Amino acid sequence: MLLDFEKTAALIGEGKLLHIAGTESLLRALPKGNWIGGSTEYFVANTGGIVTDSQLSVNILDFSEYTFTVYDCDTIEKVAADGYENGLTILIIPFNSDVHTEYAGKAPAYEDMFIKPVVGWISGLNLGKEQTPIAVNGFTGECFADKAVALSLKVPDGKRADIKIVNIFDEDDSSPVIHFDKNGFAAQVCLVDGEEVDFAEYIEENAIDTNLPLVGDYSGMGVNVSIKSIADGIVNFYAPVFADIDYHFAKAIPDYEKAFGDKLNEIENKDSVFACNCILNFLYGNLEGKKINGLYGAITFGEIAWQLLNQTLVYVTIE
Amino acid sequence: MSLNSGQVKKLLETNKPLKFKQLALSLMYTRLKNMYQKDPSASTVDACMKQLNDLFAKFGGSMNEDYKLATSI
Repeated sequence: MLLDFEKTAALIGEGKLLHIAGTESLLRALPKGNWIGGSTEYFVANTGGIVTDSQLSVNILDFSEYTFTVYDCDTIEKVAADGYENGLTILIIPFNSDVHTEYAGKAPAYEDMFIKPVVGWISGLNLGKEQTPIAVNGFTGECFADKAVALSLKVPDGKRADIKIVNIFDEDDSSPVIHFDKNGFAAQVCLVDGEEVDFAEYIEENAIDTNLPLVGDYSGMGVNVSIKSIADGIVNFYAPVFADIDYHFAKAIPDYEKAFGDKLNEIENKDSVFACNCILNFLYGNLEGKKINGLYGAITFGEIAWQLLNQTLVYVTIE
Repeated sequence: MSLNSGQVKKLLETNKPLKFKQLALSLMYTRLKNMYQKDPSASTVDACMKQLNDLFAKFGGSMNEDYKLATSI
């Protein structure tokens, strides 16, 4: 739910356990308490997509056991292992920080990753303003541009956190298979149907819409990697591509609002404890002012469902 | 619900396109398969077997369909 500063501060004052998303200045001004937060000014609420620096997206988390932890590049590898045996960890990482790069590249190999549920998001900024992406440990009042903050929740016995993604993109099976020879946030060359090509030239020559992500084939799930820019012959991504993964470009989406609506209508349980959606879906889909049927939350600069994803909606239900 | 080392080895070596339902399994399997391709040793199979079986144990019945797929290879 979207709340103003006073109502959010009041919930903190009541001792509620909260996950908060909002503009950097409001987060810095909130009182200490049982909360973690991350910066963004983009949200999807029940009234539709909205850009605001006067409201915060607040999730009240109904869990009785929890811990707050701050991670840097040297300690982030423990994020899954540090979680409760039956738990859920919500992780917030500042955009473009070293810990963002570290997590993006190495998270799949961290201890207990995929065994213990880890979700979260990359905090950002208003793209038209001078701001610093931050993650906040509300318990201590510390704001970080260079560290990640995690809230680990103990899920009650007999229940389980279930992480799901909504990916409106499908790989275009008629497009060639793309392979990269190494993991990374950038690529100059790749193999297209086995033939080495200059990737930037390939995109230009084939008039590929770079608003569409690459979709990696993860044995049943499509995992998106979005193109950030093409400069000096290098294609830069918002998340790393991985060697040994088959990628295709996604099929075009003529109507994002309808695509989300159709996907969300397929979901029976939208009673989520956490949800976030990608800034690129918000921007490319012109979601501002458009209503989405459920799974409201922050619009983010990368989504985490164990590993870093792009152009994806991530949500968690307690089953 | 657990896989033995022979089943895991088959699973890691198969070229069949698999479509798992659970996100955790699809992400984990992809990582383990890549790991095995780099080091196709018995110790890798054992490490993969432990992780897969931990996951099956964690998810329980909600992974029945994926377990059937894994054991059908």
